[in-house]
Amino acid sequence: MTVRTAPGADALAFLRERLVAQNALSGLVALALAFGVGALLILSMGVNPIEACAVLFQASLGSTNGLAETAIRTVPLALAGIGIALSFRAGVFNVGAEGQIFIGGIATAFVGVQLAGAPSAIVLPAMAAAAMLAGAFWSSIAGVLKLRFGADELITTIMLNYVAIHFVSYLLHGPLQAPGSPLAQTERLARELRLPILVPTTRLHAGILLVILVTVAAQVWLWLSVGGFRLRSVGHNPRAARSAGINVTGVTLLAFVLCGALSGLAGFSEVAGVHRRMIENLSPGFGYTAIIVALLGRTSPLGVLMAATLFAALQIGSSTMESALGVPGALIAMIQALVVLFLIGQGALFTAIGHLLRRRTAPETQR
Amino acid sequence: MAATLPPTNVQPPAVSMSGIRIAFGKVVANDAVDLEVRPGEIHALLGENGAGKTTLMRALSGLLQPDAGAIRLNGQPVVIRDPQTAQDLGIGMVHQHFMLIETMTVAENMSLGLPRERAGGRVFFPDFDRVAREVDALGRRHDLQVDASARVGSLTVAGQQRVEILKALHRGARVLILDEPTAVLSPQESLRLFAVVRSLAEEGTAIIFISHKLHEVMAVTDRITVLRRGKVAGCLTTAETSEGEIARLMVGAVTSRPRRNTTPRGETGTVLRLRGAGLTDERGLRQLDGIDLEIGRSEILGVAGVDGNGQSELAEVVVGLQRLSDGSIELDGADMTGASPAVRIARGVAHVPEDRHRTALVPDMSVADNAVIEMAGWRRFARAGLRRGRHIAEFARELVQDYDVRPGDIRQPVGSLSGGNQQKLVMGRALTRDPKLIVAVQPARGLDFGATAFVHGRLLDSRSGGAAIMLISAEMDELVALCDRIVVMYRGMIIGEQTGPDYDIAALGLMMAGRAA
Amino acid sequence: MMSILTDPVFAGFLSASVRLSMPILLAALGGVFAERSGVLNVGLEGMMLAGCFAGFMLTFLSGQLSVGLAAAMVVGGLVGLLLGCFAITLRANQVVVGIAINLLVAGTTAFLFRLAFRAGAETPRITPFKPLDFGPLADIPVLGPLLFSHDILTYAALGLVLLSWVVLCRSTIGLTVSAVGEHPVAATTLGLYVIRTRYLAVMASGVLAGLGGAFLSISATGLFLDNMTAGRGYIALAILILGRRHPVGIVAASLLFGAAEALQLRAQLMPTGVPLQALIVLPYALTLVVLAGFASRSGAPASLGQPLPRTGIR
Repeated sequence: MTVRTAPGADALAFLRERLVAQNALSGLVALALAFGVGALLILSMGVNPIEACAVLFQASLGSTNGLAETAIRTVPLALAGIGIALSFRAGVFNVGAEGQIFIGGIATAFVGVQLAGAPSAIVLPAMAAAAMLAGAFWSSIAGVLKLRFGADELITTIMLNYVAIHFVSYLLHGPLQAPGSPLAQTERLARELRLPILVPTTRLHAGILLVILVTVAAQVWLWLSVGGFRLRSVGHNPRAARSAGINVTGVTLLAFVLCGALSGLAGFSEVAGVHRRMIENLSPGFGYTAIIVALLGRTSPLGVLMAATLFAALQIGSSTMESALGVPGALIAMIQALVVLFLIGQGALFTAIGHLLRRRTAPETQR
Repeated sequence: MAATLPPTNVQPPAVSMSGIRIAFGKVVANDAVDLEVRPGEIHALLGENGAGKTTLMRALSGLLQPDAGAIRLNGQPVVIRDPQTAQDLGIGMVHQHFMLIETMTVAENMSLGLPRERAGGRVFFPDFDRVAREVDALGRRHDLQVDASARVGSLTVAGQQRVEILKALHRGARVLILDEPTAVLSPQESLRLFAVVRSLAEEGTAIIFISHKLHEVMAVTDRITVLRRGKVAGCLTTAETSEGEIARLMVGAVTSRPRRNTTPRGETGTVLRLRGAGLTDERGLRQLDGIDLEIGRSEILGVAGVDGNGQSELAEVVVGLQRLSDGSIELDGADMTGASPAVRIARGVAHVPEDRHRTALVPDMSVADNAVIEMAGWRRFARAGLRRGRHIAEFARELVQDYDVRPGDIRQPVGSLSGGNQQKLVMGRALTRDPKLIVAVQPARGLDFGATAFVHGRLLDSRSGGAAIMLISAEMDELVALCDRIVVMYRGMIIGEQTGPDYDIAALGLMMAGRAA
Repeated sequence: MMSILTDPVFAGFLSASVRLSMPILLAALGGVFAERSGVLNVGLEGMMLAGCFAGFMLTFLSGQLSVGLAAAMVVGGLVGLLLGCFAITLRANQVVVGIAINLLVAGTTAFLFRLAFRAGAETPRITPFKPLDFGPLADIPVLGPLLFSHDILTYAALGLVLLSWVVLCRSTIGLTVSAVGEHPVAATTLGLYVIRTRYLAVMASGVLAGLGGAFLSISATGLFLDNMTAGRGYIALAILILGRRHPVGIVAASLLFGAAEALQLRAQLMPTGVPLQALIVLPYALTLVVLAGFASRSGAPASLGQPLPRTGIR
């Protein structure tokens, strides 16, 4: 039995496609709602939410240094976020960016220390390449487990995160520990093996240029290239993609590789741009925040960059807000999670209201 | 058969539905529908796909609420809020897609949601033994034997259907709705089902028999209500009518049988050759076994068989979605046993899959994207890895025009098109490449007459153009009208073959039931 | 041989294996309820953390362990309700909702903890449950540390396993839950209440996971730390698969993981030459092996993780 879709349904589906799914509007509404909840919590503590907001953004956006710090924080969130977004587009729930960042970081430091003394024009790219390769390798473990054994990547990537973090900890306490150092860290990278500082007196490094490059490239690739088209097709309907001659296994593996490579690159920029060596606490959960960033950015690279910038500003300002007004910085973590809940709740709610308006959907199409 | 009818003036009708209206948004599925079924009567509900038969019965079984109209059971007005109420009122429905939990045993399935009084007062811990005894007794009485301790998933389709009927009877059904019960049965199994249905009717159960197969309806029912586009087209007494009259009511005009394949084959030469093709699935079961097959240029080969005898697998190995476990496939004399789907597409294989939504199209993507999805990397549509938007749009616009896909907006998501228009797009995509081989699986399933005629016409055009066509269908009418040759599949093997145009349909039916000619 | 069996380090290892397996056992048991009903519960981590925090706070405020215990279960159940709203009623992607809830609970507990106890203040502590005294029974080799060295919560947890087994595998409720998870439309035609059943299953899931989380704060340590559950909710998801979503299988799988964790704690006392990190990752690596070995979806309810159809369900 075929049931024709009602014209009203078409219009609604269209609205949802254009206004909610593809437009940033739903993201803005979710943000507004999450901030609203945050404001209420701040109010309940006896603090003026507008003042809190002002303090927060003054700290992150109100000065050269604040802006620089926000930009620095944007780098790992955006790189990992774009990687995750591309994964999601292919229907892969890769939650392993956190571990891939660590693996990328240790690879960067390893190559940097081993090749110290060689011309930096060769070593720096080699470090980046090693980070991307290592991240991609780590991510593809989950890919192979999924494709070969049918293991759900959600759980395998989470497990691989723990394994990666402890593996790196072992290396930092053992073989790769800087000689004579009491701390679990590698040797400091030579000056010429660090990413150049863009604005003197700040810590802003060239990683932000890398982000812009990656964003543009990913945006073009996803929407205008044959590869991006195949990736999206597989994400929407793997059966149809396979039937149309698309190598679904290859595309799925590619999604794992891309996410791993970009997350590895995030690790590279943290090591070569910020810490100048590999440390045990390289990432305070960038890989997890990047998941929210990817969702808020509607899994489109440009959107991810914007979402990453916003979250970076929030995170940078939160500690000032805590010290100045006594509002715990953990509030920002709550707001970030609420954004996602409002985002998915909203999409689902919109669909539900659509169905209510039509009062009833057509019965399941039967063959 | 009319003689077995009880006198109508004694009892009120078992079921009386009047003025039923059910709308989904702006689509009216049922409009002022009246239906009256007497106790002990086998009443056919007949109509094309999409005529509103299943919708009407879902209302009777409490799965949805009518917008208007009244339902009476044995003369009493009732409101059927939910399936539980329907059960309590003695209405049982055997759905086309069985409502069984395959991982559970028959007895466990029977125990689910059983009201306390029928469960022997046991609320917390079900009494499977008691249920099993009751099922055995019922089964013996109605010739519906099943093993109550067997897992439902391990039963044959016919066995599962017996469980469904028993489940309804066990819950005290006095009105039994059978939704296309023979769609999944072999002719012999169907005959056995008819005997059961008749004996149930003789005991006073009212039977509503949903079908679109005229000969079955003529053979087994007492009266017929015909639905057309959501309205009652007529109510007939079976003994006083003819297949022709019913068919006219169903379609509302003179029936157009599928356009017949009359022109003789012009060209010859083998396009597709399968040698000893076999397929073993991951559970170790033989899905295909020793298939030898050839299709020539300008030939339509029909593949007949009851659903699930390897036809889908045959299509999948030919288009490359599954690799053969043994044997070989040649296209135009060149081996392509190990070729990927992409390579086969490039070499001229086109696929019209069985399941439009799931296998053929990406509903969330646009008409244009779907039109070129198989050719996305071809030089015509891509340069240096980037897609050539203008060429794609041009091609899609042409396709939409040539194949009359409506509405013609190529940026619209395919999911918002009607089934018929989706199928036109799939056909167009497959045929505009002038493929050497077309594998079409149930291409007309679920389509209305106009769309069906269109699809058949295009297949015949491709045949004239020299293509080899493998047409897999469960509709004998379709195969007989279109095919130059028909093979019959049974349990993964080809057990018989006939060459047209004059087919012995009875013999084909016997082969479908596993009896080699 | 006897000397090993009576060795205090070995006895401590056995006892610790049981103790350390309890939180993940309870969380995984909760997961069984949700997953059998067809809801993929990625939010176990958040439910555990919520229970961990609520148990600690309410014990701290009231001075009563029982109050804390009740609070942990209630709060866990409420997080389950939240997951249900999104996963069942709004039909959102169950993985995304689960992850979002985990992040939300992590943020919220840290926020509230900071509100309650300003930074720099002394770490708040409560007196946790004490092991029950079984007298000489506790000195039996192997069995003593395994069975007779625990607090009341552990025995209650084992009782819950038994209860869950009866409910899920022997009763009408379990049959209903499985039917709803396998084929929600069929369950509806049989007169079952699909939506209600799923909600109750997810909330039961939250209650059990909350209890598992409370184990960490009010039984094992008497402390609360930010993100104290540290991924145990995700391990519970892996245990679900290893234990085939069956209460008995879950017990075996949790003990395996508890033993791995206990071994790693002992190894810090006994220098072995194996890097410490290798032991720490043992449970995680084991999970990966398990996932590769057992196809992760085999035996899963047919409708697991799928949103309900929009029609024909009640």
